[in-house]
Amino acid sequence: MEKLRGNKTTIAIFILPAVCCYLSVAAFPLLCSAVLSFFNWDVAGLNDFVGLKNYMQLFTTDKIFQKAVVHTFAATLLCLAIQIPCAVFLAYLLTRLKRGRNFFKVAFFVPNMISTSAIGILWIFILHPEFGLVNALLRAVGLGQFAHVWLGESDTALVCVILAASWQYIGYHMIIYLCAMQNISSSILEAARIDGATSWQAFRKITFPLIAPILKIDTVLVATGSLRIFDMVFVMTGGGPNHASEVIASHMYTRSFKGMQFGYGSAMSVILMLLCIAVTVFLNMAFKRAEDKVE
Amino acid sequence: MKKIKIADLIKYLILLTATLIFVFPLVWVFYNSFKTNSELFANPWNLAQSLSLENYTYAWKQANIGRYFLNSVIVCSISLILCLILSSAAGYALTRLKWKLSDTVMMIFLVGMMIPIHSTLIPLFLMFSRMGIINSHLSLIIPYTVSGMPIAVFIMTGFLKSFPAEIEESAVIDGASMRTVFFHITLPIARPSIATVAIYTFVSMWNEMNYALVFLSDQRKMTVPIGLNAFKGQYSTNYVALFAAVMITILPSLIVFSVFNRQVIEGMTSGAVKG
Repeated sequence: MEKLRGNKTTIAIFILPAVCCYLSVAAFPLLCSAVLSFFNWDVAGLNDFVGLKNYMQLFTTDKIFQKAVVHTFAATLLCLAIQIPCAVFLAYLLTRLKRGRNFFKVAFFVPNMISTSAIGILWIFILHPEFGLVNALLRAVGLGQFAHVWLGESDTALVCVILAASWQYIGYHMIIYLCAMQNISSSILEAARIDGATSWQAFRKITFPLIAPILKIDTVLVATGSLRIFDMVFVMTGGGPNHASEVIASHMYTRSFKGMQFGYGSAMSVILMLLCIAVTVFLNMAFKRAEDKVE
Repeated sequence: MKKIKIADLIKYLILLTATLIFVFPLVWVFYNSFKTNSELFANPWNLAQSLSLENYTYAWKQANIGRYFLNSVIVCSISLILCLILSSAAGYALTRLKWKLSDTVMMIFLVGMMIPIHSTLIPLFLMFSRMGIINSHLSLIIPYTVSGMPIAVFIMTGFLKSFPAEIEESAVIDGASMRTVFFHITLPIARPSIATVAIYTFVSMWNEMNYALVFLSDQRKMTVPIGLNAFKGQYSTNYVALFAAVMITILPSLIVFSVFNRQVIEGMTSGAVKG
């Protein structure tokens, strides 16, 4: 048995195809993009080594990139502030439900089944200045003066895109918290209730600490996901109006595949990757500190 | 007693409001997709005056949605099959065979879940251009197959680890080779986890638009998400036709979801919860 399980040919047949494909299509390109970022590489085949010039340019002269960085961070904070509280709240309500839990679970998850391009278009309709639901609703309740050209005004465009993205993902994160909360043994909560704890106390002292590990993972998930936000921006505004909703990934897309500046685009992709890693490390440290404090 | 009932009522009220927020936009697009443009502009709330499928036939013909569907089916099925073959074999090697580097390889796959798609776009674009496969379905099949692998390997190894290897061992004692065991025992046993992986992976490939946007510019080759986006660009003023086009593209996903919602939800969340 042991001999069979250690047979080199068998192992190679089973694992090598997967590993080779994986390394050549995922790991190798990752490395390439780091190397490319030090080159001035364009469609004409020009490829000079320029050192850190691409990075310097991004942080000194590229005003759109600097705007995009600010927008990306704003978007990330907004996503965290909207998606996580909503998801935790809905999941908590569902755990306290006697019937209908599955119905709500499925209903909230529906937007995750639809492609971002369909959702983006759907939200363009909802926010349409003339027949859109949002403006129609405002007019119906007599708040017509608050109607906006939501995606056409630079103050509202990015926020609207984030709302649409949150609409798509809240159900997903809710399911994650629901799983975590359902793993909590009901006898603990029952004991707390008998001892006279209010539901808020039970949530704060029992449910919340027990879902904290999942909260950490999910916060990282939301943060890194929103740092990379692209599809929704691309479909809904294309970064406009006048770069008001431009994020790092959309700027990278435009520069790389419309401007054919592959070295420059790679520099942005490297920055994006580093940002994701930095934020993950930072969040892990912040959570660790919070845990230590509680203990 | 009375108090508890009020609390319940509030709970259901909040949840129903949330349901309305998540589901009504889809219902709204559905019933508006039967209107004419002037009806839509006159009143976005009410139902269409007559039930005509004109918008649907227009969208189907003009947007070429049938073609996009065919492309998506081709790309996603081939990628899915390749992904399942490669990952189930890898999952088997990682849990049932004994070799030194297995932990390292597992680690590589897990880290892979974190790689942002944008970091591979440019190098793959340059690679595929050089290979001359840009603008072909192959340029999507390759990255789709690979990007589905980490989560597939993860779910399958998780399942196989929790499943005792005794049946397989006794088959080996009876003289079966490791390959026979894999095809005739392990794969059938792992069927539920393969189903979860398959449905989840298919849905994410079906909705993918980053790679498709960059690698395909020929309209006849486009998959559903970017085809829909191209239609939006061309017929941006014929709103009702766009409503119908959106409806056509999301209908298959909704049907799949109504049948397989348990598997989809399980597949989509298992990576996060256990990782």
